[in-house]
Amino acid sequence: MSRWENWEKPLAFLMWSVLPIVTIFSIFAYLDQGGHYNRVILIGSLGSIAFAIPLLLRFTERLIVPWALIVMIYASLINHLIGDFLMFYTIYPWFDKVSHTLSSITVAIIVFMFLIMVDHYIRSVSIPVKLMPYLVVTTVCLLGVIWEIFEWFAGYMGVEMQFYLEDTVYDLVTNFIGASFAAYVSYRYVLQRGLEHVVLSLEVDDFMERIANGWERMMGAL
Amino acid sequence: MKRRPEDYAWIFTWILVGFLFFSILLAVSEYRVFFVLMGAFALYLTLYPPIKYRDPSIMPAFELVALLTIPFIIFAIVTILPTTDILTGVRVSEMLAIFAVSLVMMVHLQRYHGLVLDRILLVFFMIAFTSTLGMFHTLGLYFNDQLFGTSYVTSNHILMTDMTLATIGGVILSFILLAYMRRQSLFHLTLPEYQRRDGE
Repeated sequence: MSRWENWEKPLAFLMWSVLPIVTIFSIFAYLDQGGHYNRVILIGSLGSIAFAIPLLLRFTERLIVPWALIVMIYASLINHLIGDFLMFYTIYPWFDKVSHTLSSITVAIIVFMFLIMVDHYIRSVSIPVKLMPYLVVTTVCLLGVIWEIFEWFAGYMGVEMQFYLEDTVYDLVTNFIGASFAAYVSYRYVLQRGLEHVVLSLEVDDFMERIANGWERMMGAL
Repeated sequence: MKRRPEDYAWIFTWILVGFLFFSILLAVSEYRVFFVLMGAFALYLTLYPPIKYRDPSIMPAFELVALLTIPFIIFAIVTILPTTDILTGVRVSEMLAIFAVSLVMMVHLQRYHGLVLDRILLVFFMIAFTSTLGMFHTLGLYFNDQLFGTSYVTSNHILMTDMTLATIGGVILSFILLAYMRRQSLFHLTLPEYQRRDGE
């Protein structure tokens, strides 16, 4: 039995228990604010759903989401919920940078997984492993830029999300650092375990075969 | 085998490489870090095939190297003749350099590093490269301001405009690359040697 398998049950229990806690917490936060602060319950509910997705995928065996990724998704979401509920984003300006770093690490791992699956299952695509870290970093940087553009436009719609120049600059810098770190660690992991082993451990053969067939039909139609 | 005029394109390509060298020296003398880095990158993309195949006649397609050189020509003109103002001068050439380097890098990765993409992924990564280079460029200017007291990026609006333009440019560029690659094979774009072999 591997090291992870020993930890799997208590870790899963811990993570499932976060779901009702977040939901109850968001309802209390909502009531405490006199029912006016709808955003809290919205984020709490969305958070609960987001928490459930990777675990549901894992336990219904649709996709064996690696524990490292599940932990990172939880860390990012909990960090964001704390920042929002407890107003840490307002009280501590650096807290936002922690959020950006954690989120970019999570997104980078997801992009890495996506690329190795695309490389493995889609016959018309080949992505050498040595290029994957660069492609992951550029993808996460693009997503970071799109997010900043969204915040910028939100400002014109009356929702102030982007405050000052330094804030935007360090958001982008922390995105880049987080993405580079995750891309490097994922790359080393794939080198150590072997690409084939990592893809097969996700146990998505049937599911991905269907996706790959659909993708190739779409490419043929384009 | 009878040689065609395009078989001599590599000689003109080398002339453009010489100009790229000159531009880098000019950028060094003017302390333009962006053009030094971009020039070095453009040289890498241009000189990779002849060095890899140990043959000076194996060069990227002339039009690709010409595309890489255009921003450096604007930069050289604006620097040598400061009264000249082609559109807004150096800033335009910086943006063009980002577009050209991203496009040629995309071709380079596919031809020499085993990257095979379908159309959707080609469009996506073209946008990602351009946007990321645009981001590095703008952040570079910001840190230049902080370290050397220049004033390129003085507001959030300038930062966001630069990055948005780079991303929109990437979208347009991706469709240009797609249309271009439907007409020309990767071999044509990068290895005249293969064209000759194909023609035999």
